[in-house]
Amino acid sequence: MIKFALKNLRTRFTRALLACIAVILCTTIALITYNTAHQVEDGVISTAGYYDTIVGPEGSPLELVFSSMFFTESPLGTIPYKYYEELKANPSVREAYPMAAGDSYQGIPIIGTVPGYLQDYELKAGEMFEETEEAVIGYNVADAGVLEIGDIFVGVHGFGGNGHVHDEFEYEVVGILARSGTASDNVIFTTAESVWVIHDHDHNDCDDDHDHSHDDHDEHEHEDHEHDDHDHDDHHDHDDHHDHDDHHDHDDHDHNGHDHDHDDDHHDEDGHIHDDAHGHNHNDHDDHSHDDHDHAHEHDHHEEVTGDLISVIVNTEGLAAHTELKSQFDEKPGVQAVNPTTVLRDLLDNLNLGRDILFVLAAIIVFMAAVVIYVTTASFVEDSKKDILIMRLLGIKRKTIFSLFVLQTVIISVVSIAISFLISYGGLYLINNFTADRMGIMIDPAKHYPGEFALVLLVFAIIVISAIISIIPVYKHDPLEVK
Amino acid sequence: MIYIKNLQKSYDNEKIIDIPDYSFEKGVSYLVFGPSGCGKSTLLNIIAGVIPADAGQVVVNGTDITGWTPVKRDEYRLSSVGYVFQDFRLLDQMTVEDNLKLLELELRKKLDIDRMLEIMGILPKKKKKVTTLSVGEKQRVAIARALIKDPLLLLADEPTGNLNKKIANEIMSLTAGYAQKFDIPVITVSHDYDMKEHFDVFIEMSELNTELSEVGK
Repeated sequence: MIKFALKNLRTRFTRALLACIAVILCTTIALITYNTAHQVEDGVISTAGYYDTIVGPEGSPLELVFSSMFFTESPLGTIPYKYYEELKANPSVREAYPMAAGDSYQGIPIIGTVPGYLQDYELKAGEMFEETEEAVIGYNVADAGVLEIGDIFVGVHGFGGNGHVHDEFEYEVVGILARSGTASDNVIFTTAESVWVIHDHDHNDCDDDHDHSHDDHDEHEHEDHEHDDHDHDDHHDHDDHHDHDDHHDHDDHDHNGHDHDHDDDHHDEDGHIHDDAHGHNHNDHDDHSHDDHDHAHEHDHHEEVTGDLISVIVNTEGLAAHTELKSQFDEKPGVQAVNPTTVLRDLLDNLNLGRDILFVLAAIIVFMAAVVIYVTTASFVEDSKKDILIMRLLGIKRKTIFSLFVLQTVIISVVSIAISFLISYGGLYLINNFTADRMGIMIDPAKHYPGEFALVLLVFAIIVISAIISIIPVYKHDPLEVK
Repeated sequence: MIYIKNLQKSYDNEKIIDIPDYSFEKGVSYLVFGPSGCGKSTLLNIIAGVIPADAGQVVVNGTDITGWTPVKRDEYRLSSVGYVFQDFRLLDQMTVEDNLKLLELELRKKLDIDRMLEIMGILPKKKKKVTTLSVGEKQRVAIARALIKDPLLLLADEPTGNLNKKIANEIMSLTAGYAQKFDIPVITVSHDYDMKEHFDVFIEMSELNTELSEVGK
């Protein structure tokens, strides 16, 4: 009977194809909608779920969570570094990681933290950042070809990519994170100190408008100093990991006037490739002798630099510890502590992505699918009406005819549903590219939920019931009517 | 052998069939003649078990089929009756072979399709779609489908309906010839009087209905 059913389908290829397309369209949409909604929700919650507390500036808890964990929002502001120290020292705190931010590279946020924050991440290549100026890039950043190991770049103030270029401070890419399907795939990590140093420097630069006039210096013995004359290409070999002690021998420089502008064409618009952005930190100089010229690099290596944080991400001993911590920090002026999972759950509920809404959405799609499938199946049966009546006339039992047509619809269903799964796999793969890039949420095309199988069974049932409903009226016709 | 006794059938209170008594013998071909609407096709449909009679008996090889349920009549028609329908009633989108194979769905046995197509002289057309065949070839396929199950009787309803004279004569001759070839009664109904020469027995339907008089040849 299967062979005959297949032959019968082949003879009505166009009708069968139309029925298949209808089933495939409806089923695929239902599968993708259901799966994506669940995976995004799961992804959001799981990303947030590992840490139970975020301590940050007062303001929207949602913005705090998104700026600290998904890096998709501008920070609310900053909190003093001392809170990190306080949290680190708290016995009920298992882990606490400082998060500093403020700059970006080609729109990609540069996040300052400690290597411990990435302890559960694998490196695809290179090594974890340890020193100031070292950076580790997320998988997508490398995959998009924005940066690669060994690249030198400078940050741009803000996240939009149009801010002031911090050309005085260079980062070097030392590692690439393996794909994690989290927001970390889309950012650049460096030490928190890097962020502080650059902004500390920037702050001072802003004071003197980058002219390095060194008005506050007691002595200026840099006659004829002309940085443009320096052959920094020779000295600043970044492949040698910024061995500035060896290359920046400013004893030889004639710093007359000292009015060099560090923006002077040593970086491209994005801040990539830099011949001589020195990052001199002249703030502490009383004596501007280059014998002890205080490079930012040296500064970083030898002095502890601290600064403000956009947040501290915390993993406490448990709910009681979180509650205690929350009440403790909520009392502090300008500070709040939030549970990211709670915040995101509230968001998802408010966005009507709750399971009830999902169910309604899926039900509407399935209903639409049912109508479309019924119409196409009924049309298929109607097209076969003459054949059914001839078979009846020949004496073939109703049960046999019924089985034959149900079998045909089962074949249409199985083929269509299988194709739907394949297409939804491809669809989820494409959606994954979007959610992974934009939201840092990885959607696994191979991941399925029991609800999907229930959905498919429902579609299957609709098809078979449609076929049965369509065949019954044909039986009522007098076989002798057929011409 | 088919024995008919007091057979009656009415449509809208109008009696179409009223046959007191008649027998169709094995190995004999019959042509039932009459104008359209006189009840020829109704008679065949009752004998084939497509429709039930209102009263009377139709006894086929000693078994009265008139009281049977539709399912039982379906079984009987499928296994015992070779019926060549008006306009052939073939599955047009399928091949010649599939039109015969269709019966295997219910008969649950392998049919010797090649042999039957060879007898009908259309074996080379086995894999052809019915829509590609000539009218004569379609007629042969319909007869092949009727005979392949080794029926107890062969019925043909206006088998030459819209055919030209030459082909109609060929088909009538062919159909009538199966009575002796397969030793079964062959009952053909037609409104074409000229076809009577091909058959062993010629019956006027109007007479059959009242007295079932055999006009004879």
